[in-house]
Formats: sequence, C-alpha cells, structure tokens
Amino acid sequence: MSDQPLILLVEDNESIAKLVEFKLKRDGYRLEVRTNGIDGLSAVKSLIPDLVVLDVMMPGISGFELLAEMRKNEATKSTKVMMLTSKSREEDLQRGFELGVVEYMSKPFKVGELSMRIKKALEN
Amino acid sequence: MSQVIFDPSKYVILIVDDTHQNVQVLSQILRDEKYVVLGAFSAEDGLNLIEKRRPHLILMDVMMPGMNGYDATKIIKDNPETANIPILFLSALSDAEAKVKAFEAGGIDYITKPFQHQEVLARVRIHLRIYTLEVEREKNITELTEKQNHLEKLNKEKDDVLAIISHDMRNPLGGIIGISNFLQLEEIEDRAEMQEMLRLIESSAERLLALVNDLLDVAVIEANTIRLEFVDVDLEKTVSDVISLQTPAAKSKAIRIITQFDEKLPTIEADQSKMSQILGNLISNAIKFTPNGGEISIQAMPDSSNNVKIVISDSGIGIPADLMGSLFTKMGRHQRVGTSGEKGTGLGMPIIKRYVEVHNGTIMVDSTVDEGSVFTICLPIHQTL
Repeated sequence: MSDQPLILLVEDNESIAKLVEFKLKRDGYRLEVRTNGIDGLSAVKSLIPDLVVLDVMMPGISGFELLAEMRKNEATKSTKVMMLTSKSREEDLQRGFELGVVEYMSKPFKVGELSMRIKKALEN
Repeated sequence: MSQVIFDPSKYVILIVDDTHQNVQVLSQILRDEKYVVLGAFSAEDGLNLIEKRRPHLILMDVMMPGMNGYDATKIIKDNPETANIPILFLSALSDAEAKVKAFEAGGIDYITKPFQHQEVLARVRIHLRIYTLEVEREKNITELTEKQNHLEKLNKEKDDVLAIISHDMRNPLGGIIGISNFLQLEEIEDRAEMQEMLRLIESSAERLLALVNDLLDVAVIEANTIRLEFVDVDLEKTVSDVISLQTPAAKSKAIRIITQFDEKLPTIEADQSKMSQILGNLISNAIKFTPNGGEISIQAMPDSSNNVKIVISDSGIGIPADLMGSLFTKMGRHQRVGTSGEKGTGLGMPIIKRYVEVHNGTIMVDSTVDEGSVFTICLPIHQTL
C-alpha cells in the first residue's frame, strides 16, 4: 500500500474536499487532507507528497502563498502541484505556471476528470 | 421653476457713486420697488461694504475720485467669493471705448446717464433673475456631483459584494454538482459513505439557502421597504426559542449557554420575526466563534424607564481591531471561519444592525482578541410613531 503515490489535498471547502477524498481513495492513492493553508504548508514539509492538490482561495494563507513558500524549501522545491480554482483569470494562470504548477482544474469540476488529470500529472 | 415669483425685497443692491444726488435718486427708485439698497460714495467704501454685506447686484459709477469703477470691478471679479455678483455700470461716458473697458473689467451691462428709471429697473430686474438662476444652477451642479459620487461609491460596493457572493455561491454549487456527478458514475456499496455524501449535498444546499435568504434581506433593506409588525415581544421566550434551535450546534462544541433575565423585564414593542433573527444571529455567531468547552452568556434587563438592554457575551476568539470599525457596515467583508470551520455569509452583521435601527435601538460591540466579544443591544420598550 505504501508504494501507492501520496497525494496531499489542501482545500477549505468541506464538500469538495470530501468528494476528492472519496474519489482518490477509490483510485487507490494514499491521501492526506488539510483544510487551510497553514496546516497545508506544514504537511507539505513533513510528508513530502508526490502531488499537492491545492485550492487557491483559502482563509489565512492562500494557495499561491503556500506554493511560493513551498518553492523556497529545498525538499519541496520541485514537488508537483495541481491547483483547484474558481478564479480562471489569466494572470492567476500565469502566476501558477511560473511557480511550476503542472495542472489546473477550474471549479466546479467533474471528479472523473480530476482523477484522470491526477493520473497524468503523476506519470509525467 | 422656483423663479415664478420675483420678490425684490429679497435682493440687496449696492450703489457706488461719488455724486450724492445720484445715489439718492437711484435709491429712491429702487426702494419704491421694495429692493434693499446700500450706498457708497467711493469705490473704496463700496469695497469695504461688500465685505460686510454681500449685495446681489452692484450699480457702479465709472469716474470717481480715488479708485475708479473699472478697477473696483476688477478687484470684485478677482475675488472668487464676489466674482459672480453682477455689476452694472452707470456712467455719463457714452463713447464705445468706455463701454468696452467696462465690459472688459467684468461689467455685465452699461447704462448711460442721464438714464430712464424704467430702463434701469428693467435691467436690474433681468440681471437679478439671471444671477439667481446662475446661483441655483451652481448649487444644483454641486448637489448632483455629490449625488453622483455617492452613487458611484454605492455601485462599486455593490459590485464588490456581487463578486464575493458569486464566489460564495460557486463553492457549495461545485460541491452539489460534483457529488451528484460522482454518485451517478460510481458504484457506492458502503452505506455510511453514501450517507456522508448526501449529508454534504444537504449542507451545501443549506448554505446556499442561507446566502439567498440574507441576500433577500439585504435587497429589502437597500430598497427601504422593511415591513415591521409591532407586537408585544417576550424577550425571554424569544431567546429560549432561539437557544433551543441552536442547542445541537452548541452541544457539538460542548459550549455552555447561561441566561439571566431580570424579574422586572417588560415585554417590548417590536417585530417578533426580526427580534428572533437579531438574537438568533448574535447567538449563532457567539457559538461559531467560541472554541470547544467555552461559555456564552445572555442577559436582559431594563436599562432605563424607556429601554431594555440585552447583553450577549462569549469566551470566543474575539474580533481583530482592523475588523471592528467596519463590522456593521461592510457587506460581505467579514466572512470569518468559525472555530470548528463554520461558515457565514458575511452579510449578517449589517442586516441585524439595520433591524435594530428600524426598532429605534442601538447595537454596540466590545471585543478582545482571544478573550471574547460582548454585543449590547438597547431597544425602546415602546415604539412612538
């Protein structure tokens, strides 16, 4: 079981977090969920997951701030990140790609599509 | 519009002429028409007089010992406070050059002496009318500009609120759509898992409903069409009804709610549903921002012979200073997640403040971060209409 990829989900919306959790566990991944940016950041550093699925708009520190912090740390500098966002503004996309985001999912999304994109992101 | 009736007694006219007889004759003609008349025998005296009492129109001689009429006019026109006073020249000089100089100095008209009484009166009257319209026009422009700025500000606030709200609606909708889609595509054997998903759909829908309800309240408030039905409201009963609705939320966080009602607490004249909403909102906020095992106290007592006071205090996380100033005013800006992740619409505080105000009451808050908040509402016992 422990050779399954570890995914960290940082998402403050309970419904969406649960939904992603249901799906990814069914897909056979190991999953950790954090509901705010501060807890998310410490989990990134302690768990060093294979992929971080990150919400943008969260209370406390935002997804982008978390991402920027992550990139300063040697151990999490190149961790794969996928962003979940209800903002689809171009400057946000630009900012994310500059910080090495591998994939974007715009809310609301179909969880099946999320699953496929996660699979693809982990394979690359 | 407002100039249907021309009332000369409302106008002050200043005559500046070094010939005493001219001043006397003109004064008489104007006084006969009920104008208020001031006289000055030199340009210097005229300028001094203007500082003391602002005339609505000036009749100005040109040739005077000391300062002449042109220079006096320039001084008046250079002062922004007096620049719009119409100045009519009255002079024996009838050549074109003198007239041009008068207009260049800022005169609005030029009458040659000897003059005809009727002509002077007709010209005075027409310039006063124009002057009055001008003053009104400027006042209207100022008012309209202020109104426009205010509307622009409100419009921007509305746009901000809409942006916040659309984000808030997308989140629960995303949950509902996502989970429904998942349920259609996946085989769910685990009964508990199914229950959990249905619960999430329900709570997302409830969140949307709360948002829509608050938005309707805001719409009614903004349109100034709040309907109140004043009845005798029993505050003790209202509070206990509210508490029984919120007991599950309080219990899940092991929060103790203590109530204390003064024996002499009278019923108050108020709208029952608005009172329930005000108290419900404040008590649910208190639960929301109080950590597990905390305490909430609700006290109600007569405040003076005409008022009652309701105090709701909690041992919660408190309100940071930067949020305090606009707590009751900014729509949608104060969405804070509760100590167990509870969410609000960010519209509650401005709504209840307005509801307290339409009851002729006041609401105040005092808060210390990490210690708790105290909300105090004062409401009149009787509504005098």
